Amino acid sequence: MSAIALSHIVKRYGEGQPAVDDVTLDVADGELVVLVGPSGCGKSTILRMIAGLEDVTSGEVRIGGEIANEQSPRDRRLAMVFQNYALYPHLSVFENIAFPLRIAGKHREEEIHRRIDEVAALLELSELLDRRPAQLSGGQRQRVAMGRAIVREARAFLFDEPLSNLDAKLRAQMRTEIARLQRRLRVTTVYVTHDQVEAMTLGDRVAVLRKGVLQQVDRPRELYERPANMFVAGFIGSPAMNFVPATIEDGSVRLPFATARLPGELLQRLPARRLLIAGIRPEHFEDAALVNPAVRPRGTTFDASVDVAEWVGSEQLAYVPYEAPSEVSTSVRSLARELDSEAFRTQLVVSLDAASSIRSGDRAELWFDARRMHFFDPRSGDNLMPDVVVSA
Amino acid sequence: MRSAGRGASWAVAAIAVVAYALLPVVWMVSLSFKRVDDLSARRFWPDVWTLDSYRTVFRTPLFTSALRNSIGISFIATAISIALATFAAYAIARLDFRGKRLVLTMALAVAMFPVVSIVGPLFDIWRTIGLYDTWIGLVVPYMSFTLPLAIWVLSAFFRQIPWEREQAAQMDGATRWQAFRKVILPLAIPGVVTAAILTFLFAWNDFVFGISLTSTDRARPVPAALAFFTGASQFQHPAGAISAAAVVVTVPVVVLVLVFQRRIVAGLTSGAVKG
Amino acid sequence: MATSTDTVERSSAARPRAPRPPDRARAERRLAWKLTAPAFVVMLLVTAYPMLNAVWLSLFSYRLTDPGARELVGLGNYAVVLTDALWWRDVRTTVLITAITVAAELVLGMAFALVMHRIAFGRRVVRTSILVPYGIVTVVSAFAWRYAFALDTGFVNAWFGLGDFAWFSHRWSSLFVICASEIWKTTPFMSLLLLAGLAQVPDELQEAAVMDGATGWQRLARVTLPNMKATIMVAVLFRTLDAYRVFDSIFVMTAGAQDTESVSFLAYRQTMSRTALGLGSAVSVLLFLSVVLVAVVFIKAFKVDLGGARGAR
Repeated sequence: MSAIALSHIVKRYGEGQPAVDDVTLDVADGELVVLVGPSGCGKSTILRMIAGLEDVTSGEVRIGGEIANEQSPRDRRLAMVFQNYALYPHLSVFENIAFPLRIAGKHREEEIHRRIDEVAALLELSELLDRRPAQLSGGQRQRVAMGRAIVREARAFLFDEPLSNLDAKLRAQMRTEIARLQRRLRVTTVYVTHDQVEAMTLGDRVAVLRKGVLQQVDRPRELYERPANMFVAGFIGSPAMNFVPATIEDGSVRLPFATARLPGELLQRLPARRLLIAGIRPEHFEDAALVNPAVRPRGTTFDASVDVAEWVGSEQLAYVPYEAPSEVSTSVRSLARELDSEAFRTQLVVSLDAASSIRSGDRAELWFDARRMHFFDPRSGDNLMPDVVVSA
Repeated sequence: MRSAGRGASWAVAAIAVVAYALLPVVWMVSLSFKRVDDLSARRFWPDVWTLDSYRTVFRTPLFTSALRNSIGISFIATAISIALATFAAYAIARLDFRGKRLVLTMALAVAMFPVVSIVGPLFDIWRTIGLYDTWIGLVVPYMSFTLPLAIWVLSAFFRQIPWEREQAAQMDGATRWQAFRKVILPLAIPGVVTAAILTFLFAWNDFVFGISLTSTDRARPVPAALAFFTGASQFQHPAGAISAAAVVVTVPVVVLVLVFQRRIVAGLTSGAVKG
Repeated sequence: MATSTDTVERSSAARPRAPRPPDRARAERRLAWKLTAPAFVVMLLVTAYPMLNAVWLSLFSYRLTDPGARELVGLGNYAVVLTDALWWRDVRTTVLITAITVAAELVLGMAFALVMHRIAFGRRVVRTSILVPYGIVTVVSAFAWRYAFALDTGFVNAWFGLGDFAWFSHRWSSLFVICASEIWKTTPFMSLLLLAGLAQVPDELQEAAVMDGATGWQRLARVTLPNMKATIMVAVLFRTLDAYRVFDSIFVMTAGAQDTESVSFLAYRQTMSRTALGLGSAVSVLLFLSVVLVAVVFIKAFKVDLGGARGAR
C-alpha cells in the first residue's frame, strides 16, 4: 500500500518566508498527482521532502500509512527521476538500470538480467543496453532514468521536472509515454513541473502552488473551469486569462471595452459599485463575423482595434488594447505588482478561429460569452463565485 | 541533504583536519619559546616561555643575511618569471599557433625536472665564470622551476578571462586601450598576483640550490642557512635557534598564504600545479 | 605595455571564426612566437643547457679535486652505477618512499576533500588551516618532525610511552618520520586538487544513488570515485614525480644514514660531497631518465588527460 499523505508540511530555511507553508495533500494509491507552479513555489522542495532528501521543519509525511519523517531515503523505497536524469556516466545503460539491484546485494545475477530485460523491453531500450549515457539522445536518457526507477519496484514514483530539458516536440511525445506507463503500472506518482500543459494532461489531480502555499487541488477540468483564485486562473490555460477591471452598475457588468449583461441570479451574488476583477479566457472571445447566429445573442459584441494579430495555423491570436479610466488602471497596476502577475497590461489577448480574416491594425467586431466570465476580489484574488460552472 | 546527527561526526572530522594541519606548526612555535636547557626536557610545551632563541637568531648575521638573501633572490626570480610568463601566457590564451602545446608541455616537463641533476654542472660552470655564491648564481637556476610554474598558472588564469568583453566594450564605444584597461586588466591582475604569490612561495622553498651553489652568507638563502645553523655556540643544541628562525621565516609566509587563500586555492586547482 | 596594445589590436582583428586570410594567421603566429620566445629560450637555457652538460660530464671520469686527471670513459660511469648495489638500494628506498607517501596522501587527501566538501559551517576555517602546511618550507617541516621524534628534544616518545626508542637509529623508523613529514606537508595540496575534482561530480548523482539505496561507502566507491578518475590520475602523476625526487627531508633528518638515502640524495652526495662530478652526473642523468620514464608511463599507459582534469576550466 503506497498512498502518500502530507499533513501541514512546513519547510523553513532560517528566518523569513518558509519555502513550504502548511501544505496538506493526499495522494491515493495508484494516483498521479501533479505539483505545479512557477519557480520557487516550493514544489520541488515538497517532492524532496517526500523523498527524504530534505528534512521536514514541521508536519507529517506518511508513506503507506506510516510516518516517514525520520526515515532515510533508502528505507522509504521510493524511486525518483531527476530533472537531469542523474544517469551514472561511467556505467552502461544496463549497469545504470541494474545499479539499485546491485546496491541491494540480494539479487542473483540471472534475476538481475531478467528484470533488466523486462524493463528494457517495456521502455524500448533493449538495443541500447551496452551504450553509455553520453551516447544517448535526450529521450533515450529519460527512458533509462525511468527504467532505473521501475526496476526497483518502488512503492511510489517521484518525478522532478523530467521533461524540462527536452525540446517541445520530444516533450509532448515523452509526456504521453509517461502517462501510458503510469496507467499501466498503476504506481502512485507525484510529478513536479512548471508547465501547466503537462500538469493538465498528466494529472489525475493537480495541485497548484504559489510561494509555498497550496492554492488549489483538483482535477484538471475543475482547475480550468472553477479556479479558486486569480493566481490559479491566470496560471492554468494558455494564453493566460485576461484580467480586466469591472464594476457592476445598473444591472450589468461594465468593462473598459464593453458592457455585458449577466443573468440575474449571478449578478445578485456580486457586490455592486465596487471595483472587481473580471477574468475572461482568450478562447472565449471570437470574431463576431464567424459566430453562429444562433449562439450570438447569448454573448456581447464590441468594437475593437486590433494592435497585433498572430496567425499560428491552428488559431489566430489578436492583441487588443483598451482604455481603462486612470484611477482604475493605477489601482490595477498596483494590484499587479502585489499579486506579482503579468496579466495586467491594459490589452486583451484573444484567440480567434484560424479562419478569421482579422489582421494587424484592423478595426473589428469581437464577441464573447459573458457568462463564462469569472469574477475575483481585487484585494484577496479569490474567486467570488467559485462554485458556478458555466458550460457552453 | 539531511544533516541532523551526521553533522556532528563531520564537525569532529573537521576539527581533526585542523589539528592535523596545525600541530607541527604549534610544536615549532613551542620549541622556539623554550629555554635552551628546556629543549631536552622531552615535553611539548615550554616550562618557561622565553624569547632567548629569538634573540640569538636575530644576533646571528648568518640568519639575518639569509633572510635578506631569500627575500631578494626569490623576489627577483619571481619578477623575471612573471614578466616572461605573462607574455607567453597571453599568447597561449589568446592566439592560435602550432607551438602552443609544445610550450605548455615543455613547461610541464621542466617543472617535473629533478633539480639535483643540474647541480653538478651548475657548480662547475658557476665556479668557472664567477657566479658561485652570488644572487644571480641562484636566480638563474631558480628560473628552472619558477618560470614553468608561472607559465602554467598564468595561462590557466588567462584562459578563463572572457576576452570577448574587450570587443564588447569596443562596440560600446571604448578605444582599444580603454577596453583593455577597464575590462581585461582588472581580470588579469588577480591572476598575475596569484601566480606571483605561488611562484614566490616556490622560490622561497628552495633548498638544493641553496646548499650547493653558495658557501657564505653572501647568497645563502634561509632553508640552506637553517641546515647549517649551530645556535648561539658550538655547544648548545641548535634546536631552539633553528625553531625560532623557522618561526620567523614561516610567520610572514603563512600570513601571506592566509590573506590570499582564496586566490591561492583558485590558482592551485585551476592549474593542477606542483605543490 | 605597448606590445599588448599591439597584440590586442592584432588579435581582436583576427578574432572572427570565419576562415581568416592566411597572412592574418601567419601574422598571429609570428606574434605568438615573439611573445613566447623569451620564456621558451630562458627555460631551455636554464635547464637544457646544464642538463646536456651533465650528460657530457657523465661521460668522463672527473673529480673536481683533481681536474687535470679528467679522462673520457664513455658509458663507464653508467656501468659503475648500474652495477652498484648502493644504487639499487637507493632506488628501492626511493620507490618505497614514493609509494608510501603517494598512497597515504591520496587516502588522506580524499578524506580531507570529503570533509571540506560536506561541512557547511566552518569550511573556510578548515580550508585556510589546510593551506598552512603548504606555506611551510619543506626544510622547516623536516626540522619540526625531526625534533618531535628526536631522542633529545622530542615529545613523541614521552606521549606514547616509547621510552628511549631512537627513531633515527633504525631504517624503518627513520623512513616513517621522513614519510610523515612529506605526507604532512603535501596532503593539503592533494586534498585541494581532489576537492576540485569532487566538486565536479554533480550532486544529483549522489542524490540518485541515495534514492537507489546506496550507503555512504557505496556512494563513494561506486559513484564518486569513478567519476573523479581524471582528477585522481593527474594528482597521482604530479605527486609521484614529485615524491620520487625527495631530498630535503632526508638531508635534514638522517643525511641518508640508516639506508634512507634516495636517488636524489645519492646524486647530491656524489656530486657535492665527494666531488665525483662524473659519477654524480651519471646518477643525475639516470635520475632524470627515471622521472621521464614514470611520466611517460603514466600519460601513455593510464591515458592521463592533463587538460581535462583541472578543477576550474
